[in-house]
Amino acid sequence: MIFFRIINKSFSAKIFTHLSGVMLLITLTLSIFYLQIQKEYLTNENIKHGKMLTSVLASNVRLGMFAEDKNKISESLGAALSVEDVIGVCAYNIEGQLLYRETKPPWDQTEICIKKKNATGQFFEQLKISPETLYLDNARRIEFWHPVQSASSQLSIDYMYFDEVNAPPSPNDMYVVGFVGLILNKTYLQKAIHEMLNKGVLLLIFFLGLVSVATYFTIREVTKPLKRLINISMNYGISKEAKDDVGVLADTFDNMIVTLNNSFKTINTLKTDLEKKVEDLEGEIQSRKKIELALRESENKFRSISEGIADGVAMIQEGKFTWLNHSFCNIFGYNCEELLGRNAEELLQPAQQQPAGWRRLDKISVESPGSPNQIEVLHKDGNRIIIDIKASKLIFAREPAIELIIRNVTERIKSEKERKKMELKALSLSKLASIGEIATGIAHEINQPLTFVKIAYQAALRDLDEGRFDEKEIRYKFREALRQVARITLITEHLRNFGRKNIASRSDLYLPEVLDDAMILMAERMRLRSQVLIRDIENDLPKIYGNKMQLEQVFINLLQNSIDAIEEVGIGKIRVSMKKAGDFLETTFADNGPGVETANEQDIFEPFFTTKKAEKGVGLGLAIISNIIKEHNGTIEHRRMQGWGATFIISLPITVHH
Amino acid sequence: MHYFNASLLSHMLRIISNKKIFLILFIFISFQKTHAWADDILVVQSAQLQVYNNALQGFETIVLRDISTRGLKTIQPHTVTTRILSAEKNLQHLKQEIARRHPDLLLVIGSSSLALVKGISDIPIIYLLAPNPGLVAGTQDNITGINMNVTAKQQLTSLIHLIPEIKRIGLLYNPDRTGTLVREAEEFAKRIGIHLVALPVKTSKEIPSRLARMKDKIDCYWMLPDQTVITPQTLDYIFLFSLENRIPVLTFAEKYLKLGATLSVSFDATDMGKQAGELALKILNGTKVSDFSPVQVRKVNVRVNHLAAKLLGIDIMALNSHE
Repeated sequence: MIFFRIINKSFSAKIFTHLSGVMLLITLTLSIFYLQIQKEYLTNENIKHGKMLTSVLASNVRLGMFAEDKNKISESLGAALSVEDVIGVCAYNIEGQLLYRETKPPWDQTEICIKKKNATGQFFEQLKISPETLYLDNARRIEFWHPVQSASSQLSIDYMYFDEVNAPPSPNDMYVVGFVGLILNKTYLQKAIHEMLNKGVLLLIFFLGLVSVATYFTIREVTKPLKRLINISMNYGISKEAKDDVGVLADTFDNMIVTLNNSFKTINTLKTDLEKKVEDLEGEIQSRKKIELALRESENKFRSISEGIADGVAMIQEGKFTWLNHSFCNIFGYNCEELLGRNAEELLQPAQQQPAGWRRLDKISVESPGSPNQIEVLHKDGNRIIIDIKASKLIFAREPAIELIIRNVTERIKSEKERKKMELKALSLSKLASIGEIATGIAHEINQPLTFVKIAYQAALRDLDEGRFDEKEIRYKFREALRQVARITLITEHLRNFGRKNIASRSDLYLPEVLDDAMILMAERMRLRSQVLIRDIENDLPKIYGNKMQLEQVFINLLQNSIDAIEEVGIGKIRVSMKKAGDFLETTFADNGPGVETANEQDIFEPFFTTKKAEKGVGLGLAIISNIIKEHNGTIEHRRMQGWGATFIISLPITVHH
Repeated sequence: MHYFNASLLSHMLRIISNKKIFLILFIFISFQKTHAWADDILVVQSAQLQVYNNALQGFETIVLRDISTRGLKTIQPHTVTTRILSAEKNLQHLKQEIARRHPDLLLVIGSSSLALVKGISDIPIIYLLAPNPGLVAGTQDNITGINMNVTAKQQLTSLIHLIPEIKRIGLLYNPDRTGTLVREAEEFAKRIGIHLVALPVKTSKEIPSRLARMKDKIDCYWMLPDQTVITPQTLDYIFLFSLENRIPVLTFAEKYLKLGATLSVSFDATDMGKQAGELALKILNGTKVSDFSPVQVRKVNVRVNHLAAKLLGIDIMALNSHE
């Protein structure tokens, strides 16, 4: 049972058992086959041996038979008895008469070569015509019979003398002179067969043993990797229920197949993804090619366009000019050949100290790509020129590059400066005009406190003259008079500052105060015309950063325009509102005048545009306002509001302190 | 027969216009066109055997050396044409051809050839190497030849010469076949003081018992060309008897030396051929065949089987051929 259990459990044992079984079967079959062949061979050999012995005897005895000489016959045949398995010999003459019979003890002579007369006759007749030895097989012995032949008893007369005259006697010339019988003992044959069988069995056992040992070691060696595999499988717990080693392997194999299937699925998914990616990539490559083509076309287009424009365009790669258009070269006064390959930094060396950062073209392109910067550089003839320069990073001819676009702005800057000068001059004129216009109001403003001072002094003098000296009252009148003088001083001081050229620096301003200052100059004028100012100002307004004088002039000009506009209206109203709107402070001036005509709306900020009478103004007011507001990074616009005439909204950025 | 090529002749005639020369040539050509005076000898040989060839060679050395006494000697010697009987398909045709050809002389070598020409009576016939010519051809006047049987005298003389110790010689014979020879032998033996033990036999079966009877009574056994005594079985017996009893065997043909005979005294085939040649020349020169009785072989060869002699313990002194 244990044996069968081991066989069932162990693959090696199973193979060993099967192989051994097969080997045993094959060996047994072959052995039986071999023994059978050997047996047949031995029997045949025995017969052959008997036949040969008999034919030799027949040949030897022919002389004795010829002469029927019993002694001779005995001499020829008796020797055969010395052969181990020969038990008897006998000889008959042609008439069937027994000439000789001899046996080996313990065999009795009467036991052999006994034939009934008739039967003997028939047998000898048969033997006479038989070309070879006949044999009779029985349980204990084999009898061999051979005819004794002799050559023709007479030779031709020539043959007596000469060898070759005729052919020697042929078998046909032979004739039978008697018969020889030989009896072999079969015991020897059987003994030989048994010996062979015993040897065969011993050899078989030895061979099987040898083969089994060889098979065992071979299987042990061959199944080593298998065992290792099984041990690994067992250790990994792939299979625990399997009945035998192969079961473990089968389980492992099943597991592997499942894993493999999963792997294949994953691989297929990956493959699909990969194919998709490849497709995408191909698409991308195609589109890139298209892009590249487009880029090339665009580059070509760029070149042709660049050549056609007035701006200078140049490509800098690795710090050197690699491409330039004619305008670029013209701006600097060089031939393009002179500039190609030349160091860009060297050419663009500023003519004088420039703010930091100009030197690094790549920085320009990174920090403010495409935005113009202005630098002053040297023309080939040594003159300074001012250029607007834009730098951007791009890929040119498949290499990283910096594109420079320059414009010669020297003339424009010069004319702008001229314009600025003109504008300042106009502003001064405008201010003077304003002063002129507001002078009446100011005179009246000054006149009122002067009148008060005058009356106070007159009353004080009168009291002093009349001897009425009320110190308390005089003190009051003088203090009041001084306050009025201070007011006059304020007005004159303000007027003086306003008329001065505007170079005051900027500061944080509280805009309602600027309005108050403007009203110092404008209030009396409005009062005289019975016009009212409506203030709609939010509390806690934030400050703005600006030039107080410039902004005061903005307010004065706007107020002046409104005053002029509402002169003919019954009760003139000017409304000034201020409010915070996001990061801006929004100031709205509105009056109840006739407003701006739609046709003139576009031109109102243009210099020297006016609808007033010639003595009233030159048309610079709103243009100056617009410039000042722009300088303060603010905006001014004209709107129409229900119930109001001209309405201007000014937005100024609220000061931000970091 | 020789014929002149006719086209060659006409060519020559054109070249030679001289009448004298023409006459001489005419006479010459006339001679060529007739039977030659030199003789035509036809040899019929039984088989292609060395011994026959030797005999023929001997014959030719004599016949071809001889110059004819007739005709243009330098131009025409005797011609010898040989036909081998064993190579012929039809012996009857050959016989007819011989009759047609009618040679000047027929030399027949071997019994078969002699048997073939038996009956031809108009051509002189010489036989050679035919052991018993009388039996084969009977008696015909035109037949003569060389008898190949060595005489008893020749044989016994040779034996005694070589082994002088021999005093008793045994022999078996059929009186019908070799009785004459035995009688001659007995006479000669008596003269030279040899005791001859000659036992007659009727059948070959008697040989073993007769031989057994001679045991211890003879010093040598003499084998005679007797067909009753010499059979394949008796030969075995004789040589076995010789070996067992250490008795040398004297025989009449060299072939028995190989089988175990000690000594042979036999004819010399070449010399026999020469004898025939001499005989032929005499016949061709006009002597009648009937004037010649068959001639006895004149030269004998004595040969010894040294191995057999050694086995028998016999000391043989001189081995030269003895005439």
